[in-house]
Amino acid sequence: MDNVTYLANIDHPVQLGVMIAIYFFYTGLSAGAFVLSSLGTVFGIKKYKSIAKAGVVMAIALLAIAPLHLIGDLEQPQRFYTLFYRLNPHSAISYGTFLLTLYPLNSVIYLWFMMRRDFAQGAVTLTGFRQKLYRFLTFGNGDLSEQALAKDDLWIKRLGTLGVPLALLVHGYTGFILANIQARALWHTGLMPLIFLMSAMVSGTGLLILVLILTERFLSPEKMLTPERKALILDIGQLMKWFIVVDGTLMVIDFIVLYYSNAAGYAAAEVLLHGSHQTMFLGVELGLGLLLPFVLTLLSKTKKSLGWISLGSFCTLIGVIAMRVNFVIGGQQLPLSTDTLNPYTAAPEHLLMIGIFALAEIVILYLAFRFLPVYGLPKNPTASPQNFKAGHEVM
Amino acid sequence: MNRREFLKSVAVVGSLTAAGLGMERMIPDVLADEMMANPTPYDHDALPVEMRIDPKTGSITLNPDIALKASVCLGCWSNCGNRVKIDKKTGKIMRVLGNPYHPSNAEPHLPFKTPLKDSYLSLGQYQELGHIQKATVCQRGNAAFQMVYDPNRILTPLKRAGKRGEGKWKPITWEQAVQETVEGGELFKEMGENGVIEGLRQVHDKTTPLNPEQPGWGPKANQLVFIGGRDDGRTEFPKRFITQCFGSPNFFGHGGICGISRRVAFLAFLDTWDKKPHMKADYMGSEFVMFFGNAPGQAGAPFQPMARKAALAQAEGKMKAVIVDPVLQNGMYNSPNAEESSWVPIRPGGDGALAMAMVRWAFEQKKINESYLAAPTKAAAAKKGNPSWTNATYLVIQEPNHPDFGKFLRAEQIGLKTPEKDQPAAANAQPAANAQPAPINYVAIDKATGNPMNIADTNEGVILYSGKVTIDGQEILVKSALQILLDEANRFTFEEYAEACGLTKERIFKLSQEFFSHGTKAATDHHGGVSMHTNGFYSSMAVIMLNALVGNINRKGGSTKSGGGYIAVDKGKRYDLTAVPDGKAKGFKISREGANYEDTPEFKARKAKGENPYPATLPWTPLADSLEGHVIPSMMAGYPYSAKILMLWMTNPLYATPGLFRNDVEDYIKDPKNIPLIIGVDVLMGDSTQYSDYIIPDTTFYESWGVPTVWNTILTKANGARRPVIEPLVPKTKGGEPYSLEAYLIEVGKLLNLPGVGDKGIPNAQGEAAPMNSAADFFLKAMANIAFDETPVPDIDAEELQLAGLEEDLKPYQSSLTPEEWKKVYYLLARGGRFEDYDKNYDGDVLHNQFAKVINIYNEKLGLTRDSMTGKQLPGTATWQPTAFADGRTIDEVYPDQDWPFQVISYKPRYRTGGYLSNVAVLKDLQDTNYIELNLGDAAKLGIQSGDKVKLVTPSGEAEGTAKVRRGVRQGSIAVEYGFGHWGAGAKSYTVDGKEIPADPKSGKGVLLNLLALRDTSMKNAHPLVDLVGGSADRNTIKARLIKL
Amino acid sequence: MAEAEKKKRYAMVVDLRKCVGCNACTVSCKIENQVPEGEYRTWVKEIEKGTYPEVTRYRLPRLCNHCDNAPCLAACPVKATYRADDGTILIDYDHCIGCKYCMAACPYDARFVNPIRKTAEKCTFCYHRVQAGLLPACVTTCVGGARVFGDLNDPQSLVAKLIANNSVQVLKPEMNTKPMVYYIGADRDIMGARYTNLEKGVK
Ligand SMILES: Nc1nc2c(c(=O)[nH]1)N[C@H]1C(S)=C(S)[C@@H](COP(=O)(O)OP(=O)(O)OC[C@H]3O[C@@H](n4cnc5c(=O)[nH]c(N)nc54)[C@H](O)[C@@H]3O)O[C@H]1N2
Ligand SMILES: Nc1nc2c(c(=O)[nH]1)N[C@H]1C(S)=C(S)[C@@H](COP(=O)(O)OP(=O)(O)OC[C@H]3O[C@@H](n4cnc5c(=O)[nH]c(N)nc54)[C@H](O)[C@@H]3O)O[C@H]1N2
Ligand code: SF4
Ligand code: SF4
Ligand code: SF4
Ligand code: SF4
Ligand code: SF4
Ligand SMILES: [Mo]
Repeated sequence: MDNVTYLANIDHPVQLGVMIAIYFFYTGLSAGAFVLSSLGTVFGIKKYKSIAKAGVVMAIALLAIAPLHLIGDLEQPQRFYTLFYRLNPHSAISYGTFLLTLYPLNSVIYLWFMMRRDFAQGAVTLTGFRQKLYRFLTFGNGDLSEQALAKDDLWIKRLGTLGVPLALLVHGYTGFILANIQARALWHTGLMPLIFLMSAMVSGTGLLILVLILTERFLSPEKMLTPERKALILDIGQLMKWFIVVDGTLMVIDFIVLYYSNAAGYAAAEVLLHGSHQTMFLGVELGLGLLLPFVLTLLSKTKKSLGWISLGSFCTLIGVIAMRVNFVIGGQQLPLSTDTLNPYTAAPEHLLMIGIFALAEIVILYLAFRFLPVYGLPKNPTASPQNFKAGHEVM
Repeated sequence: MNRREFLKSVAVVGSLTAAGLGMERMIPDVLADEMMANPTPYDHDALPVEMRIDPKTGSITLNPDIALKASVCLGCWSNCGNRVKIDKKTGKIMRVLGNPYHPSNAEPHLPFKTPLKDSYLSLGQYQELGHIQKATVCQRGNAAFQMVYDPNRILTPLKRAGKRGEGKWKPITWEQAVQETVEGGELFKEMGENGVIEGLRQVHDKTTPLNPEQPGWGPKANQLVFIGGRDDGRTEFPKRFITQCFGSPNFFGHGGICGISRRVAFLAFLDTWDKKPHMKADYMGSEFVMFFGNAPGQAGAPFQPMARKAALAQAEGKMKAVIVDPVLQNGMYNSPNAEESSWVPIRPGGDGALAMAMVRWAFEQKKINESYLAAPTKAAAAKKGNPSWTNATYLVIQEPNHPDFGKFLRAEQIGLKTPEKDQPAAANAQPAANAQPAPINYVAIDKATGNPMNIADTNEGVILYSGKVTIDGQEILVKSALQILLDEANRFTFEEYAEACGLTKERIFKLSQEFFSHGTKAATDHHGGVSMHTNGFYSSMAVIMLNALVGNINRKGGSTKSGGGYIAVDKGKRYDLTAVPDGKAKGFKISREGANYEDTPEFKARKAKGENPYPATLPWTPLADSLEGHVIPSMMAGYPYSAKILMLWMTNPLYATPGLFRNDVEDYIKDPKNIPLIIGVDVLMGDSTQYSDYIIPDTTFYESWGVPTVWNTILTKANGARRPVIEPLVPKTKGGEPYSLEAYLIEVGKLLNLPGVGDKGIPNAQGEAAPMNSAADFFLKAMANIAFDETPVPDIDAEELQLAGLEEDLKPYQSSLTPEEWKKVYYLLARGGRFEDYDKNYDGDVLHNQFAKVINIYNEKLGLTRDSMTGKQLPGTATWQPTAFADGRTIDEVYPDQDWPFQVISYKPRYRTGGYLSNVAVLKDLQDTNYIELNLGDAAKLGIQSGDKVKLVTPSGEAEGTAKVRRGVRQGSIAVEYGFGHWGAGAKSYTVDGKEIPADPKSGKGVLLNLLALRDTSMKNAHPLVDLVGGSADRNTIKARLIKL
Repeated sequence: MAEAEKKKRYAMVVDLRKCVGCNACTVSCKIENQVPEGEYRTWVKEIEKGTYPEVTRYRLPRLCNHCDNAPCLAACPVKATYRADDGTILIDYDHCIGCKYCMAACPYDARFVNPIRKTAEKCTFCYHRVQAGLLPACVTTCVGGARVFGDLNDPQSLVAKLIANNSVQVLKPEMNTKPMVYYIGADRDIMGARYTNLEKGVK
């Protein structure tokens, strides 16, 4: 029983807030999407080849926006560039700075090699704005010879192989940002980077499914979900199921260990499981975000329905946002020197920024899928179904 | 060394250190020159350093842009010294540091003759002097200077432009303010208030009786009533002006709401009614101190030295502290292995019961210091090596209905021979204390012979005696003083005492056991907690009496009357600041204090009519003074008379007086018919000041002059000396004086050509007239008295004069003193006052500064005084009385526990001083409201948690507040921190010339308990519940209910 | 000379037996360092402990520990947090980007964002005063004389002696931060956080 009452102390509000949580969410999505795209190109699993481009486009689009949250959260945003030369070898963020530059660079080149052929073809077969755009995007390399294409594939493999670890690192390091901090019981575990990675895969897959459904239906040349596309999406749904299983398992392990760790760790677990964060954690993060999608991807009826699967996918997004908030903010709410949770109130300007960035994200994705040959070249009057097919074959 | 060089000298070290870890980048190029504005690259915003002290050599390099000036703090009433750090460019105060010469700032304090420059080492690392000689100021002392720069500070005279208290003002010229308040007239005609208001000139009538039927009350001049709360070292000025120059007796300090009952109890204990000594425990030398309330580290006067000494005495000395308090306050720093908490959660108002129980226990267990008490005279005590003696053995006539009942038996009454020569005073006794009355031939029973003897003829008296003596053939019952105390103690059983103070018998015995097991190194300390009850006087007596029973008076670790001060505003070596030609006020004080009811015109009239003169219309308090809280109730009752002009200065009676402010009082104050003219002198729109007709701006303590003495507890003599350390923010009069109380009173005095002001206002020691045209004139002369008292202080030398920068600062005032006086006054101002050296604390095991008169177990004056309600004589010694109304019914009878389960008390705020400092930003930032604090157990019963909204209901009102659940509040008690719940002072907006001065949302938060405090419903007129003997307004016996909202 | 060469290592000892809980330190720090409203470089934590009526009150002045092994130092991505060669941990306000990572990393709640300057801020051990041979503001005004400041590497210094001759405590030793603020007589129940309310699930 407690025999202490606090008389005087001061508040210590949470410092890393919702902007950081959302930043982690974005990088997670990006990494997840990239890994999926690499399944076809790097790990040579044929059936995933058709979504490789979509995955990379997403990865890039998401990572274009993600860092804005970081910068937006700075008290001195105009000084962000100093991150590039005032390095601290002990600081995870210092490394992050470079990962955050290398990874998208690599992905862009990787994407270019995947699309060069379409650009080259488009440059000749298409007309109007697209033609000009594609001609430009070939950067003067319109060579469609076998060797040239083979060389592309080689580069695709190389860059993809480099991209995968980069993607994992980009998101892994965010895990380290938290894991390295001994002060915060909820963060300070070797599992943290893995947990972040798995939730990244879950949400990445979730978003990919949604994007595929929408873009293939409305923005692909065929403007339709062909049976094979549908099959593939459901198949990715099954992948997601396994990610969920692993993610859930990691969570369980983490909490078991927390319960056996020090007072702070124990309290952290309590706060999430029984305390003020119960609904956000059990309800939203686990229930809505993991359990429901798992069931939907498990039951023979729902797992075959695009509708249910997309619902499940959507839930994973909600769930992973909740997870980022629970861990980033919840982790800091656990008191270090007081007897109550550290207060946190999201700054309105931050919420505004998050909204604006989200819109920007959607626009970018739309434009990318609308104008880039993610699903190959659009049918044009001259081109026959055959060479459209051919156009498809190469992938 | 010029500014630039100084910059460099600091800059260099800076760069050296930062050069580690390739941090050169960290030192901006601006460094060298921006040094002042931006002292370091490490902290743009930190203040520039006042000096540089070489840690190895101790050589000091002053920052030429900064001045350090010695002053005196008024963050609270403790009057600690300080050093004010001032930016020479802006003339603004940057920060406040302690004054190492001042005993309230440092333990030990620097020898007075230490060169000024050396005293700066107390800031530095050199030889750890910054720790060893550290001089501190407390939380409020650090912050108080911000009130000088309060954006809403009143800087020009204001005249009300609406109804009283309506908050509409218009600025007027100084001349108009003086002219109108002096000459009176139809002052508020433009607001349809026609009718002529008498000004100071009309009221200054020392011949016409204010009440023709009963001229005895005094002349019309008495209808000028001045309430000046805080004794800040300026108080002597208005006091002299009102009581002597103007000739009204009605000058009031805030004693009556500030622990007066304790002070009066000490007057009786020490039988010294002129100078007003009181005692505190000498913590540093003691082994065991019982703090009845008055927790050191909570509040206390003086707060800072009490807190520091108590901490050091516990950490480094042998002192154990026990805190008897309904609230667990700071002050006890238990050794980690203390087996029981030293907190004694007493029932409010029960201190007398606890103390009298301890007295009874000591008698029963034979633990009283019999040998000490048996010595009837100084000589007899000296033989035993005792530094003090008591009247324990003196015989008192106790024969009921005997005309001399309550009087000491005189030798001549029983035909004893009387001695020729009287006893000499103690060598090191105070001059004041020296003034002993002609020796009276008291009688004691001689231990050896068993016969009554003149005390001068026996060295060993019988301490407990009850028997008969024969006075002109009649058998008369007499008792020794100590016997009377014992009989009082035996009136109640331990069970009854335990019940009354809410402690177990066992705890009481344990406390007694411990208290009486430390010889003379145990002592008691108390203040507002005990005294602010209707039984405050007798409870205080009981608490004080414990010290007499162990015989600790004048002993190291015992009770000390403290060092006191030097001759200042008095008849000094240089000037006589008391003498004012026919400066004697006549009649009675409106507060019904300082005079026996039996001497009043009312008594005489009723007696003449042959009716029973008791009870008096409203109670009289003959033994007490400065009963601020009685003044307005008297006015409302028109008894003894009403007032024509009320002046408020440094006071907030409506806020600060428990049980006073209600609608009836506000209505009374608001209606000009009742008090035709109210003049407030204030720096802000205070809760009370806002009801003024005119507001006169004033200088704050950093802009004014003063000679503040230090509160007791300092064993050595000390006098602060305060002079303006900054250019006052207020404008100056045509005569060049800053708008201030002093400037105002002097102009008034000159207009009315009152004695004691003007070119011939003050006689010097030779009787020649000296000028009294400014505050400086008055206070510099007081400082000259201090400087020349005893062996005069040295003359200041050239270097110090230059260091302290006094000459240029004080140029305008050269005419106030003679050149030879200046040299010494400079010396004193450079050090912020005059302070006796620390080595004068003790002479061996006794105190150096001793109280040199007999200690009163029984006080004759007290025993002969009659209760103006019943006409009965008062007990002449300590006794237990439950808290009660004037008609004798106890509070618990009238408000029984089953209806009023809680007792609410208040305690002093940590970040404020009374109602004051509520306008200091940094303190408000730390705390801007108070709480309804209650015990965990009580809270559980009521389902209350910290933060819940609750309603506090008392017999006189209710208030909503926020609950704070504590372990350290007595069960059945509720504590409310004082100093919050303002309705003025920034909490209410007002307009000046139609322009609004908005209220600050951070002000006015919290609950003011005074609005809920009890009134004495047994009186015909609205009157706070008061101690009829000690005069205190009761603020700690408030019965209440608590409701969760 | 060798003496002079010897590197300094500043530290503070807070002797709680002498802490009267007055908060003069808190106020003087705010004024000396112009700390903005609502923010504190130092503060005094107070608790009540025991079962009524056996209750005792404890105090704990708090400030940056200037850790020898400082997580904040490691965390700062732009080296704005740095260590002066006398061991003091400082922040270069001209280079702090305000990422607040150091605040998440500090196990002692010592840091906050200065809302006006928009950088991280914390106790500097009054570096600007110490450079000038003076003592920190909070030490100079410490009413009880609880706060003692000096060079740990000088065995003759008061701090060194206090640490040598008393049983001293530091906050969260298990964090291996090696704090340079030492306490004498700190109660275990005031030194860290208190989770009981949280575990009860109080929302
Ligand atoms: N911080 C601070 N210090 C101050 C002041 C201030 O306003 N703030 N004011 C100064 C002034 S003007 C004065 S007069 C002194 C006053 O110094 P104190 O008299 O010591 O201060 P108070 O808080 O009035 O009362 C002391 C204690 O009495 C307790 N108490 C209440 N009722 C009872 C009771 O019936 N019995 C006992 N034993 N205790 C009781 C209260 O809980 C409180 O802790 O302080 C001075 N110092
Ligand atoms: N409930 C409760 N009531 C209490 C107490 C308590 O503990 N509890 N404490 C009592 C005690 S001990 C005391 S001493 C009194 C204190 O009460 P007061 O003696 O009234 O003193 P303050 O409340 O400090 O108010 C002084 C007023 O003077 C004005 N003032 C401030 N500075 C200056 C200045 O420089 N010049 C001028 N001209 N005016 C200035 C301000 O308007 C301020 O409100 O309160 C008493 N009342
Ligand atoms: S105790 Fe009072 S007088 Fe002394 S420093 Fe503090 S506020 Fe000033
Ligand atoms: S206490 Fe916190 S801020 Fe200070 S040095 Fe240690 S980790 Fe850094
Ligand atoms: S907030 Fe400033 S000091 Fe703290 S880590 Fe970020 S850059 Fe460094
Ligand atoms: S050392 Fe200076 S900065 Fe640090 S807490 Fe003390 S006063 Fe504040
Ligand atoms: S100033 Fe000293 S005594 Fe007062 S609270 Fe701070 S550390 Fe304690
Ligand atoms: Mo007071």
